Amino acid sequence: MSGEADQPVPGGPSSQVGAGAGSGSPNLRGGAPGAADGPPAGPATTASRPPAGYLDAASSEPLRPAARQALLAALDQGWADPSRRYHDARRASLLLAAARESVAAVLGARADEVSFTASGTQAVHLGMLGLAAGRARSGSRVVTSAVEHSAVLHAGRAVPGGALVTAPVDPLGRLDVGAFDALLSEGAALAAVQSANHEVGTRQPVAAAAEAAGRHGVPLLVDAAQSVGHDEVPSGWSVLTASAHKWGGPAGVGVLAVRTGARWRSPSPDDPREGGRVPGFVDVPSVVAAAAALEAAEAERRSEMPRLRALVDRIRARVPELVPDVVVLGDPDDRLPHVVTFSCLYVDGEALLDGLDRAGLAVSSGSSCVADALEPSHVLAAMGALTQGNLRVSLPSGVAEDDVDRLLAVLPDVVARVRATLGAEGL
Amino acid sequence: MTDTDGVVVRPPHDRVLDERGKRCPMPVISLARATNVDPGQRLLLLTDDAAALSDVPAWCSLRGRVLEWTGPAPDGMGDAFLVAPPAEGEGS
Repeated sequence: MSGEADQPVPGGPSSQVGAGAGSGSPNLRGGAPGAADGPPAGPATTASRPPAGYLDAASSEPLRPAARQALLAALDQGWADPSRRYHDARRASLLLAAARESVAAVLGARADEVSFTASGTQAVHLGMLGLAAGRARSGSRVVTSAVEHSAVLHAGRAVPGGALVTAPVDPLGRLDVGAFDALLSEGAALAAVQSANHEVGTRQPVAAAAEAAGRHGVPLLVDAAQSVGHDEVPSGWSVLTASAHKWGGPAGVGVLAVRTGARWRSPSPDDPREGGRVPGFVDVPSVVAAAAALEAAEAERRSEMPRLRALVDRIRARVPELVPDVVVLGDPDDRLPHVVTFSCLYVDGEALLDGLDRAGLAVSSGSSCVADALEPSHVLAAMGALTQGNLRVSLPSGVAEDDVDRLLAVLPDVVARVRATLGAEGL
Repeated sequence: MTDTDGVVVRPPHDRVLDERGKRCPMPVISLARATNVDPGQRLLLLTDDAAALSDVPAWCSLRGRVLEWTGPAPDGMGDAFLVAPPAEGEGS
């Protein structure tokens, strides 16, 4: 570790830490000498090298080396209660403030607008219920797209006395802004739109949705869980939520950003922590690690994401050539760089996942036979897409090209075997 | 159309495929098999698999079949899909 963090600025205001956020001054992040022992050969010394065959980054990105180092250091240096007045507490407080400044800068927010939660789901719940509480006099109608993450849909249904209404999407999974606008015109307490779809990768028209919401005076929550660390973070939000394990931070850290002036009121019992927005003792070491991971993700984004985008393009082009009766889903261009989804006719998703797992490849599926609820993904259903034999491949930063080659090499045989088992050859 | 009790009656068809109790992707596979056996038939598929609501229309567009009608199964148990050959001149 760099050492500075061992000696918190004596009596120093947090702004001294904040000023250093992202530039290597007193914090525990990025570029510490400890990095030297770690990463195998890669494009840069801070590059991640995910486990071989791991192609499910949209579920969870493996912990980045910079985050691991920051976490270990912060466990020693950031364990105390940051709200107290003694040496260890001040050190924890400075670390937390630096992490907040750093994350806020990436989100296009002010530090005091950013709170850390215990998960992305908790951030969504507090974000939505808080907007509903702040707007109780404007009714309790909640307007979202039909393809939001289940956390958003469940939170929308949990608004006291609320009614959730969803706007349709086109076959690519993109929100119909006209329909969204029409629903808003009937009155709403709040609206929520994802930055990009978590299953098919299609970017949502957040700017147009924000414009519509603004015109109707309805606050907009943007669920940016799949974009932060991978793609541009949209603006125009009243509340923005994200999740650290999606960008290579640790699990157990979410982000809730509430724009200054937004009519948001905490739906939880009073607790002064995290700006009064999130109850409970904040996990400073994990938050520090989350901020370190995001700095690392941002530092390599402009070089790494084009590489992932090209690998996804290859999958999109090759899979339909290699496997008969496959439908590639989502927008081919206006999409997340690292996510691709396709469905295979006459295939059950569970058998497909098992076959790929045996080949050492980890992916996920939105098919009904894989889900707990025995229903296909609501995203695929809303798109009117084929849901059987569905696979989502999402590339972690630093993924080896070889893993993509291997997927393309084994997929035709895995699909053919499932079809043969089901007696579906030649149909 | 309705019968004498005022109950909605399924449209005319040549064959019923009762796939209720079977899970995705079996109902669509049965539909494809029956279509292969006699491409000219109008098939009424009965299924209680939730995935069919997405997958039957998707299959029809992939295979150039016409989904003429969708509604509840005649006995109310599950859904019914009437799948017909393409209109004259479009081939199969």
